Amino acid sequence: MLRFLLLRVLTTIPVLVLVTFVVFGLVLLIPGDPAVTIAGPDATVEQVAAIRERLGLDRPLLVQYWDWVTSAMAGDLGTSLYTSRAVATSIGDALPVSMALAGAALLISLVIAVPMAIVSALRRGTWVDRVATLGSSLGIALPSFWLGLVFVLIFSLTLGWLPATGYVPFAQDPVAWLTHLVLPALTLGIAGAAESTRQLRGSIIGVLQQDYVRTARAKGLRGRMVVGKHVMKNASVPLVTVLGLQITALLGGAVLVEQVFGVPGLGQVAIAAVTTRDIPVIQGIVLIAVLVAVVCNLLVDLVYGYLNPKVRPR
Amino acid sequence: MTRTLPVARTAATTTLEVEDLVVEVLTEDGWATVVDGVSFSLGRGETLGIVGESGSGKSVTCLSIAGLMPPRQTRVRAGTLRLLGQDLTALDQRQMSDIRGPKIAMIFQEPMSSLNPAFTVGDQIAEVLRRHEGLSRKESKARAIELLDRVGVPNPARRFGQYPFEFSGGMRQRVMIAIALACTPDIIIADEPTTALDVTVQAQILELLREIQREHGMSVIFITHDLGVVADVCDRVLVMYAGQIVEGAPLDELFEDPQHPYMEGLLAAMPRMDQRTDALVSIPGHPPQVGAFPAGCRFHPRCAYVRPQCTDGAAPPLEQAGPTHTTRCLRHLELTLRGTT
Repeated sequence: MLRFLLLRVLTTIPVLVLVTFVVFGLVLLIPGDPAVTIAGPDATVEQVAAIRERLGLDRPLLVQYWDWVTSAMAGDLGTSLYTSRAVATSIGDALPVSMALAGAALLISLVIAVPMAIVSALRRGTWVDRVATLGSSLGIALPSFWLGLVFVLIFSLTLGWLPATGYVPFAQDPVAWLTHLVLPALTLGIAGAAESTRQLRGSIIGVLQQDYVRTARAKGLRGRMVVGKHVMKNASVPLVTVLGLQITALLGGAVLVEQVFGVPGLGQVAIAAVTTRDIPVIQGIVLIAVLVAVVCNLLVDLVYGYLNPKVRPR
Repeated sequence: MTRTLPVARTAATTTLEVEDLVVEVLTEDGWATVVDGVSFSLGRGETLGIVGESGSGKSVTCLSIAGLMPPRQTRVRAGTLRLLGQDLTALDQRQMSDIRGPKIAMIFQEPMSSLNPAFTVGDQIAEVLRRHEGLSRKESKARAIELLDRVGVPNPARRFGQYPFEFSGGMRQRVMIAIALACTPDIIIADEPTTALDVTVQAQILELLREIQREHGMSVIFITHDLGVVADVCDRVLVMYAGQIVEGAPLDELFEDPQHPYMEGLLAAMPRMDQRTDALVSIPGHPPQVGAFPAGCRFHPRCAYVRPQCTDGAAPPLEQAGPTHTTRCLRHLELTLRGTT
C-alpha cells in the first residue's frame, strides 16, 4: 500500500513539471506587458525598463522560470504587482475560506444525493423517482448564482434567518462562521447534489441487476445490508469520480457564488488578479488549483483501490 | 365452536410441498403466466431434478420458493408453498429473509458473477453466519475457514482473505457451496450449478454436492437442462415445458419408460457414447414465448404424435401413468415411447 502511494506520488512529478511550464508560459501569451501596466500610461521608456529589470523580466526565460519554480517550492510565490502583498499570504488567507466552503458544499451535496439516489433507484418508475429525477434535472439546469440570489431573497431578506453576505473566520466566531457559510454552501451543494444523484442512481440501478445482489438476498441478508453493503460499495465508483471533479471545481471555480455572497475565497482573489493582469497572483492561483487537482486525483485513485480490489497493487 | 387444527399433511419425511403454484410476470401486454399450476413435494434427503429448456419456468419456480423473484414485476398469483409445515406464502419479505440461509439456500449458475467482486471470499461466507447465527467476527471467520476447507478449497486460511477474481470458476463455485452450506439448510436449490464449468470440474462439483447431501441429509432441488447431470445426481425428476410440469417420475423409470413425447425428444437429443450417428437429433421448433402458450397441449406444435384432440381447449391434466409416474399427455396410454436402454 505504501509502495503504491509512493509510486503514485512519484508519477505526479512529470505532471507537475509540465504544469509549471504551462503556468509560467501562459503568462507570456497574455497580451500586455506587465511592466508597462505597472509603470502607468505616462511612464517613460526608461521607467518601464527599470521596472522590467526590477521584476527580472529582462532575463532569459529559462532563468526566470527556474527562479520562479525554486522560490515557489520554498513557499515564495512572489509579490503582487498591485497590492505589494506576498502572493503566498493572499492565497494563504483565501484558501482556507474556499476549502471550508467546498467542504461544506460537498457535505451538503452528499447528504442530499446519497439517500435520494438510493430511494429513487430502489423505487424506479414510481412518483418518488420521478420527483427526484425532475429535481436533479432542475438542479443541474439552474445557474448557481441565480439560485444563490433566490436563497438570499428568501432566507436573508424575507425570513431574516441567515446573513446575506460576508464571511467570519472560524477562529473568531464558530457560530457566525457557520451561519455565513450555510447559504453559499447550499447553493454550491445543490448543483453538486443534482449531478451526484443522477450518477449514483444510474449506477445503483445497474448494480441491482447483478447476480451477486441476488446472492446477497439468497443468503437472507436484510434489505439494508444488501443495499448498504453489497450494492453501495460497487455503485460508488462513478460517484467518487464525480466527487473528485467536483472538489477541484469547487476550489477553483466557485467564482460566481463567492461573488454573490461576498465570500473572500480564491475566486475573489482570482478575479482581482485577472482584471489587473497581476501575473504573480494568477500564477500562484493556477499552481494551487493544479496542486489541488493532483491531490484530488490521488485521493480518488486511493478510493478506487478500496472500492475495487482488482485495481489494487499487489 | 372449537375446531381442531388440521393434522399436518406433511409427513416427517417431507421437507417441501408445492401446491398449484402460479407465477406471473409483468410484460408490455400486462401480466403473463410463466409458472402454471406446479405441484410437487420434496422428501428429506431426496434430490429432485427439474429439467426443461430455458423459459420453461424451472428457475422461476425455484426462485419463487425462495421468495427471490423481483417484486412489482412478478407475483405469485396462487398456490401454497409449505416448508416443514410452514406456509411460506404467508410470510413477508423480512420473515422470508430469516428462512433464506438457515432453511433454504441457493447455488446459482454463474460462479463468475454470483460473488461480489468488492468483498473477500471469506467475508461473503462469514456474513451469513453473523447474520443467522449471531456469531462474532472472530467466530465467523474460524467457521468460514472450516467451510472453505470442507468444500475443498486448498489453503483455506490464506484464501479467506482473497477476492473472487483470484479464484477459478470451479473454486468460486466451491465458495458458493460453502455459502449455501454455512447454516446447514434443510433444502439446497442448485440452479444449473455446473453449466458454466469445465467437464472435469463439473464432475468434482457434483461429487462434492453429493457428499455434502449425504453428510447432512439435506434435500436438494437440482435445476438443469443437462440430462447427463440429472442421471448422475437425481433420485426423481420433473420435466417442465411452457410453465407446466409435463412429466414426473423416479430417475430410472423416466429414462427407460418416458410417458411424454417431450421427454422422449429430450432423451433422443442426448448425445450417446455408445451410438455414433451422423447427425445430432433435436426436437423441431422452439419452445413458445411467455404469454403466447398454445391452446390445448402446449407441446403440440412440436409433437410428432399430435392428434386433433391435442390442439385446442385447456391444457391436458396431469395424469397418473403409474404409481409414481405422472404425465400430461392425452395419448400416453396408446403411445409407446422410446427411452434409453
